[in-house]
Amino acid sequence: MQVKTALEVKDLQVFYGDKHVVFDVNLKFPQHQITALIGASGSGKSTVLRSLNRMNDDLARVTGAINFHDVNINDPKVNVYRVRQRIGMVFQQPTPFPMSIYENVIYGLRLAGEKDRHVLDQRVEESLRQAALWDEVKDQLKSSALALSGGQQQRLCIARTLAVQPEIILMDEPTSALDPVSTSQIEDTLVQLKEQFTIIMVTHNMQQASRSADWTAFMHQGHLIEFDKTATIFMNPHEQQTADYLSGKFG
Amino acid sequence: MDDLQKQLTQPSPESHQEWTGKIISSLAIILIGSLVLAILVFLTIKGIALFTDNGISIWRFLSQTDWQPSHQHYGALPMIVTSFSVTILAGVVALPLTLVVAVAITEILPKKMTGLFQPLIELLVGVPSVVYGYLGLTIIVPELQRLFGGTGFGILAATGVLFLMILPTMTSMTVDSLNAVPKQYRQASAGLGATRWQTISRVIVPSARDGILTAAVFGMARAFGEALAVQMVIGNTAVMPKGLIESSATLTSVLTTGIGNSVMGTADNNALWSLALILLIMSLIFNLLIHLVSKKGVA
Ligand SMILES: Nc1ncnc2c1ncn2[C@@H]1O[C@H](COP(=O)(O)OP(=O)(O)OP(=O)(O)O)[C@@H](O)[C@H]1O
Ligand SMILES: [Mg+2]
Repeated sequence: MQVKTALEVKDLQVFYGDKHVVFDVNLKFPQHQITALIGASGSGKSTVLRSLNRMNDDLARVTGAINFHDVNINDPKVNVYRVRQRIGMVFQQPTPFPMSIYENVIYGLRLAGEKDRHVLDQRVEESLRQAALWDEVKDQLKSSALALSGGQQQRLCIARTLAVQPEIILMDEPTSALDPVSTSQIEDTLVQLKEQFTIIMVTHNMQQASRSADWTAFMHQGHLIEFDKTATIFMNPHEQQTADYLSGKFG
Repeated sequence: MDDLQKQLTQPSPESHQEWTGKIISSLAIILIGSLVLAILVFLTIKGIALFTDNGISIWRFLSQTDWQPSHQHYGALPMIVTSFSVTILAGVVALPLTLVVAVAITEILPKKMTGLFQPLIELLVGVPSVVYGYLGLTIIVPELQRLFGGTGFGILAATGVLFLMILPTMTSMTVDSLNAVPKQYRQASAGLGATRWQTISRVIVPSARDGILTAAVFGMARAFGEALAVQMVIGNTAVMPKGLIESSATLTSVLTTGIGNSVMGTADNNALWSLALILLIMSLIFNLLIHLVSKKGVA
């Protein structure tokens, strides 16, 4: 099967001050697929993920190329605000802003200058439906987002990211702060979403990676050890380190 | 009764301690409560004596503009107007500046600079008000005199002094409330394509709104009640203010200048107590406002 590449990472290196933490990572993230980044704590998963939409700008020095639609978005001249509209991010902790549900969803659209009520209303419904939250909140769009449960808040954050209509969604352990029921709801949602979006997700949850991801990248101490179809990584890894990690020998 | 039953049911040193503690703290609460109550009752009785004993109507007291105790004219309106003017002006000028400084400290300046600024501001919070009054007297009043002519004393000078005085307190409270905004909001907002400025104006400041308002009300309450520093620069003429650089008087400045010159129990003295009662009522209102604004933040 021939899959298109949504985002290509070439020779990625990341330094926090003098500390070199990501070494020579090369990866092609397939379009309309879910890719999981797995690896032990401190292996550099979040660092790689944050580099993909320039969220490391204030934190770290990132070298190498990140090609998106034939543009190297790691170039200093690139407009990072536009990049982040095309490549959105969902964080570990659900962080709805202290505003209404409605205002939360349209936050990014407002930033982009959208003012048309009809467009906003329509995008709110669409995004909340995509994030599988619409039925639960459609009657309380004007009430505070902080009153929602943790799982609902995280789905709201997903909806907020979707509302900007990005092509790629980066997620850093999006379910690690949630209970099992909310987790499986979000996993179901992700599978729906890959029809329209490319998803790149960091996870510590091996079941989650094997259940929802099409592709899996295994990182160890800042190096990308192996990248392949999820089934291959889990059933038949090529690298000894991958096998050791998955069988719990370290990390 | 066997031994264990005795142990379980009879008083022990621990239960005695518990009792003593309860009694001491109850006594302390009663003492403080009755002190506050006594002050309130005393001030109220003294404050309404002008109306009950000296036959002045409350309405005339609040609405007349003529304050001449020696001629039995007790119109407090000029001081009420002046007090509110200096308070509101100082608050209105201080609020935006506070916000700019606090946002710069929490969001823009590098950590090292913040480390320098914060102790400085906390130091300024502790400076006694007489120092601000003295600054006003030696710098602001002569400057105003040079710029606009006249004496330089008046509402503008008092506003300047109060502004300087409440700025550190308001800034430090505003900094605290901006720092209390969860860090993740900044990340989440940036992740949606917001610039730093958009994040500040659309997420951080609105999230801290209640804290910022509390700081403003707190600052204005301090400005309203300040006596010494104001008295040094306002000119102390108890007339309706005709302009911002005309000598006038606030409730507090009339109180501090007048209280030594009147005899307890006379109408003159009672009139001053009535001014004090207005101050008390206003500070209760300010407290209520602070309570209301900060309560909302929790919900
Ligand atoms: N802001 C930072 N400043 C300095 N060093 C950092 C920073 N963030 C991460 N690091 C270091 O970079 C390395 C990779 O960290 P990273 O957070 O990317 O790991 P991770 O794989 O996401 O770990 P986890 O699974 O615990 O989230 C670690 O050694 C970490 O200490
Ligand atoms: Mg991480």
